[in-house]
Amino acid sequence: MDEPIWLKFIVAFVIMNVLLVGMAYMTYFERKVLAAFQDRMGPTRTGPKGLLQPLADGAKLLGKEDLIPGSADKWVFFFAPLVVFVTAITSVAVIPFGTSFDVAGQTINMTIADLNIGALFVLAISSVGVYGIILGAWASSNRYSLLGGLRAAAQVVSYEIILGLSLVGIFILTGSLNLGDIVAEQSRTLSIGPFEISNWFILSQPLAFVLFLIAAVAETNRAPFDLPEAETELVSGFHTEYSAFRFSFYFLGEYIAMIVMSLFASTLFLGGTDGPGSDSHVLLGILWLLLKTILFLFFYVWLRATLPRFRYDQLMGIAWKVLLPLVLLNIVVTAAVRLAVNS
Amino acid sequence: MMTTSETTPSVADFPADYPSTGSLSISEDRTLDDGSHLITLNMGPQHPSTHGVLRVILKLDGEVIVDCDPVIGYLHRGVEKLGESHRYAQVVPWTDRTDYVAAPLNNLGCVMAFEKLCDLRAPERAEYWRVIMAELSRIASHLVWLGTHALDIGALSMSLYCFRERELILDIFEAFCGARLTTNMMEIGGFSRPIPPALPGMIRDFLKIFPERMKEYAGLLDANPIWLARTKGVGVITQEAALSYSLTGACLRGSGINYDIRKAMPYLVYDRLDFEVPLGTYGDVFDRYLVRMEEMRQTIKIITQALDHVEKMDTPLMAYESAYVIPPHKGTMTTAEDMQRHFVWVIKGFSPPVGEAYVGIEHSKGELGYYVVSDGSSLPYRFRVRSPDFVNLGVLPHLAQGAMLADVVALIGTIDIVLGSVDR
Amino acid sequence: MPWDLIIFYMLAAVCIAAALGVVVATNPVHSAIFLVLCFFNVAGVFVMMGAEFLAVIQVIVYTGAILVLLLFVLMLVNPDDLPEFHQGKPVQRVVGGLLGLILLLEIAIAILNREVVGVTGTATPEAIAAVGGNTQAIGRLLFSDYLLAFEVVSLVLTVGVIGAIVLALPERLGEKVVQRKGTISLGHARGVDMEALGEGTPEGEAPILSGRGGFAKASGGRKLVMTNDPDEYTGA
Repeated sequence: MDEPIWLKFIVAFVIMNVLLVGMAYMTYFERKVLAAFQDRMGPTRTGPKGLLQPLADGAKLLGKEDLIPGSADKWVFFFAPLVVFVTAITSVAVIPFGTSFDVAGQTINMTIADLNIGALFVLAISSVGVYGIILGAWASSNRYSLLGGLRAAAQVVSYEIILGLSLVGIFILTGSLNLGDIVAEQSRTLSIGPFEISNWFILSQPLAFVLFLIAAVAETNRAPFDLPEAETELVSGFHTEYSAFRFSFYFLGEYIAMIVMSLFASTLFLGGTDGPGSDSHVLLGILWLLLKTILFLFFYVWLRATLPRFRYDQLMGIAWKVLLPLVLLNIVVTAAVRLAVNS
Repeated sequence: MMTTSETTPSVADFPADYPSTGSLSISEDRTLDDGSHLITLNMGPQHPSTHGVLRVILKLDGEVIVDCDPVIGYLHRGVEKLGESHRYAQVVPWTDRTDYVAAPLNNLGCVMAFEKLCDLRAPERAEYWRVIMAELSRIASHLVWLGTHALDIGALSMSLYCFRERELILDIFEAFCGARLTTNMMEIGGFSRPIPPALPGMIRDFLKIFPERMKEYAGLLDANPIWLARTKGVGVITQEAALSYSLTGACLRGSGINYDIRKAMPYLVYDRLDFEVPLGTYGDVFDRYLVRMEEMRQTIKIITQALDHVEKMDTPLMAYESAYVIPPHKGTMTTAEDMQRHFVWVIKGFSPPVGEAYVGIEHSKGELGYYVVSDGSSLPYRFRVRSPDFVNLGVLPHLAQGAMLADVVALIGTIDIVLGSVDR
Repeated sequence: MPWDLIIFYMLAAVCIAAALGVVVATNPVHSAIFLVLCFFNVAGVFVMMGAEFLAVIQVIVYTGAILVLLLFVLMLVNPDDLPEFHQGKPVQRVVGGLLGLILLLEIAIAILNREVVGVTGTATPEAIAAVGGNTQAIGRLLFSDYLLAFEVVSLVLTVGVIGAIVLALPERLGEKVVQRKGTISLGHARGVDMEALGEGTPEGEAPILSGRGGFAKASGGRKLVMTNDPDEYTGA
């Protein structure tokens, strides 16, 4: 924490812009992967292999007319998309992109805000993100939007619990809520007989990993949990009435939330920046983190290409009747094992 | 003294909350006895999963449907009236536009009704080809149903897979008659054009590919717990309800009622072909899905048999001996007599004997009936289409009450409607 | 140090303004939004005091869960049914004003009470650092000194949850779909006889399909009855 505040701002600025470009190309990635799943080509016309498609989409959205329904609550309608966008992008602040390195006499910390409750911070911010959806839905004064907003509220509150509780096992094993500590704990190499394996939490907390993955998909409102926007039932749900750049804030927010969730999952379960050569080279560590993140993003797209959508009551039933007992079981077992090892 | 209201009920006799279908209006929200507030949701006519321009007015208690009222007529083109103002051969293309995903089947029913009116039967070879084309059309129609039904429930990729295979069928149609969607394929009396030599090969290629693709669909859906959860136990139609709503097609057979016109009242050459009719036992969305999937497999069997048989045949395709059939094109370019005869026939059409005819065929969606009355002129006196989807759609309010909002799209999908056919 | 002070006053000012907004706003959803803002700034104040854990819990529990549910209810309420905030009954206005005044007096006395101001409690920065941080400090307190209260609160909450479930339990839970006893045929005399259904096969009339094993391969846990004849049906 010795670095001056201006340096922190520069790091934050760089990471934010990388994230925005990453989001733009996440849409390209999704379209291409989805196209491959569905025996199609995906975008090919804009630029070589359609690589400029995200930019064209952005320009198009900027140029569209910004429609506001006559009966909408204007102020709430204005700022609701921003809530989604800002909260999505804020939570990246606590993700450790590596330890620190020295450039021109300055120590650059690769975590923007090294909070001692980093993991909880991500959860807190993502739970605030749902306000963007609920308020946007309410402000549109459209019944499809309202139903989408209600679904979003119930869904996010339920799956937030699963998401948070699935991490408790990790907190018990690490003894810290700091994401840096969690990565450091996973960087240790365990020797079991002749084998040397990394202490990634996916190995010691497999059940928690699966539960986290399910809850993370639900938390980001993606298929098969995309009920708030279910386009075949609710005609896009909460953002039915949004257009132009206001709509794209929702879009940006959703994709950035996916990227952040993937980064978060990689950090918590797949060792974050840990990987061969990551101790000596910071950039190699970032590369490993990105590879793991892309794995999760691919998983998101894979789900979307394969699975039908849950029904509202089934979604809630799974959260409360299946996932919650499992996640509590995981906590009890982890705590018992930890207690037995300690004593 | 009797008042009018005692003899004929007027609007004033019914209280405002009279519980009948068609009583819902979008402008009013309702409050239940226990004080809970009902939301009125207007679904459609511009909605991604009402399969066209169906409008459904829903009264929702939370996500649970209390009342459901389908509103139709947004795609009404007056096909029946158009049928009465065109010559017989000109009516056939209009039937393409009713159920536009299964045009050859519509053509088939129409020309069979006209043929019955004229007491005329197409040659055997033409009947085999009619069976092949009708069954291909059944697969195409079922593929559109499967793709859109799965898409409604959220299985995004299924729609693209289904349309990929449908493309192969449309290619066959294009090779056969030159058009892909509105084929106008069947003619009164058989087929006036020769069968393209490449056609049997194309069909055999499709028959080879399609069963493998069917396994892919089943792998994606049958083994998927979400798909099972969304379809099993949803939209149950009991046998009593199926009969009282006079459902036909997969909606009827999914409830375990053995009625397939191809078996019950065989037409064309179906009595010579070996195939089975699948029946469901639960009568829910999943049973109807299974029934339609099995129907596609049986259809493959039918086409294979018919194709094996017809390829060896070298008999005429058109019943030229009949006076009600358009004369051959053969001499129209060379001899004046042939040209005149043809010209007069096209301009004046033909006049069937006075009488009436009804033909019901097993359409991909149920019983498609054509009723035609002739007064001896060259225009039908009455042309009536009994479209299966219109009748089947009537069961939607019965199914939707008590279901959840997300089920409505599954229910619309499972009834398998095409609004062109519902509204006609 | 002055930076801390400036940030504190900013947080406090926004917090008070938002709290005013909660009371003044006519639209209850706007009030809820102001309340979210207020809670956020309180969380900020917690961070200023080094209680990051408390701040995050404040955001997760109050803004993330409780207020979301509050909004949930507000969105469902018809705006016409809401009480007009500015036109309460005279009694309500008088009593409300009185209660507010009493609360203000209480707080003022608490602030003016010299014994509280400037006295440090046991939770000094050193004491917190000794147990490993604010999270650990709260945990230790909760599970040692306040264990009884903690358990009682969880019991009360459990009772509340069960009560809510009992109240909201739908009358019919997951109706099971039953398999029909058999299929019927429209072409067969017995087939259209609805009375006979479910009571077994009538004497002397065996179901045509039974025993032939006319079933399709099971798919998704279901089998289809395959018929070859329009008169076929399966018996009970």
